Amino acid sequence: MNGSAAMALLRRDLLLAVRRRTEWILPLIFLAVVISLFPLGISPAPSLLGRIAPGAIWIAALLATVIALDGVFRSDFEDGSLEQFLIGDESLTVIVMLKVLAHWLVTGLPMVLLSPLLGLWMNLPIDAIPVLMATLAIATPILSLVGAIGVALTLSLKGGGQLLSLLVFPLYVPVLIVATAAIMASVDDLPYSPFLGLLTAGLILSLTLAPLGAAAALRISLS
Amino acid sequence: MNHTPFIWAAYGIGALVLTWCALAPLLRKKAAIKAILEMRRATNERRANHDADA
Amino acid sequence: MNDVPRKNALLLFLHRLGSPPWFYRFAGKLLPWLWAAFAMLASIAIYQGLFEAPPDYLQGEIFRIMYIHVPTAWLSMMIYGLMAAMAFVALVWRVRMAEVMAMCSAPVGAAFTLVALASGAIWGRPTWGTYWVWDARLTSELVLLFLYLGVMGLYSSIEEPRKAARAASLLTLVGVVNLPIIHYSVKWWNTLHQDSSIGVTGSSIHPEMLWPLLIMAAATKFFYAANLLQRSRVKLLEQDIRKKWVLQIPEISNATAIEAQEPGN
Repeated sequence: MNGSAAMALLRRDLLLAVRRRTEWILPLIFLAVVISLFPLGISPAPSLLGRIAPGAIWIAALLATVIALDGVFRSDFEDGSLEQFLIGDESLTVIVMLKVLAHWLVTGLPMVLLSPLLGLWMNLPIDAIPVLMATLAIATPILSLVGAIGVALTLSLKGGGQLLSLLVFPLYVPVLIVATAAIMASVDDLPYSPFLGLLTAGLILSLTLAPLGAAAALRISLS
Repeated sequence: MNHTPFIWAAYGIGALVLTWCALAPLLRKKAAIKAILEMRRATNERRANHDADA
Repeated sequence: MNDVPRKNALLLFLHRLGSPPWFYRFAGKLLPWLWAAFAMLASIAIYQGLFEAPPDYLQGEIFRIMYIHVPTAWLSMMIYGLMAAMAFVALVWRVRMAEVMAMCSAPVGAAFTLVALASGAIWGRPTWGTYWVWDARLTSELVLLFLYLGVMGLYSSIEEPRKAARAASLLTLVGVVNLPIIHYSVKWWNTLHQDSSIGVTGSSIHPEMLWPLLIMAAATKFFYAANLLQRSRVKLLEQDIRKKWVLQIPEISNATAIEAQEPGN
């Protein structure tokens, strides 16, 4: 696929996603609501919140991502353009990669931008907020990429959303562990860049393998 | 602490789960055989009726 | 020139395995031997493990749970690996028997994972004071259970059987790529947060304690083989219910013969 065709596809998907406001605003609201449940359900004590902040924010981000993921192939599946991509000339893998990129720009990136507020709510030390944003920026694309495989597998199912969570959460466990370790290291004034490095390695791995897997999954689901 | 009940519990759960694991296909096979015989009986009857009508 | 007929025999065997009626008959003949091997090895292992092996220096009698926990944990991981291999064959070469056997392996793997988790938790209570501990092995096993349940869930939610098997096979492969990553990240996470330092296995193993473990490990493999063939045969019957070969299996043809002999027929 040449550059201008890729840009055209990207632009189309971005425009569609931005126009469908609920698709990207709802996950953000969901994120904020879930975060506010932690002090309500556990305790508003600042020291406690601060200690669970990295995990709580990341868990909420995982949940919000899974909810938002449903839309990555949904509209194209429903109007038949997905099948056109399948039988078309362009590589399905590249198309998937571009779609996931567009989807992340509209759902994942806003999460990164909202995270300082979430860190503030959860009493995360100010110095740890850049690391929080870095982990989200590097790793939410991993969530979108790996999650796209799950979405592709459950595409034609009615109760797909819940099954999707069961399918992808075990795969998200390493990301959760490393990301929260990075933020906690930053809170404790310990080196966090090795963890960010691990996350980056995970991102590169996902970028190369996940679109292939998602394309294969789409072929199976649409067969 | 007496360890015996724990040991029996662990071996017992193992035996229970694995027995169920081994028996479940037997039950399904019985149901499958029944279904196959039912189907055969139904097609034979239909064939007999058809021959009678012809 | 001697290995040419042998290679042909292997290829012929694999080719025949792909035919459902042949597989059904062959597996049926093999099953009693596999069950017998399992029964024999398991009884020896359990007898030796419960009564003959000397009590552990540190843990006393409770270590005997090891003879349940460790072999089932080993097998739970091995089954996933085999399932992934079958899933690969199913996806790449579209071999139906590989699809069937991969899907039939999942519940068996889940069962072994369940036993490993339960026995691990029971082992933990007297040694660590609490039933559930988020230690590296138990947590990894729990995630493995979720992977199995995901495969089973996806397989059962798609209507068309071959499509369902292919989708679940792809999920299996995604899981197997992630499995080492998950395993090591959980292990590492555990060292970050650990309070105690003793693992479930504790000190090194005395040879008299080792034999029942290895025999039990072999026994569980026979269980898996037997259960797998058993489940695969039933699945073939269910999927091929309208095919001719199903009508010719002994269970059906004998019943037919009996029906034909009854008065009134």
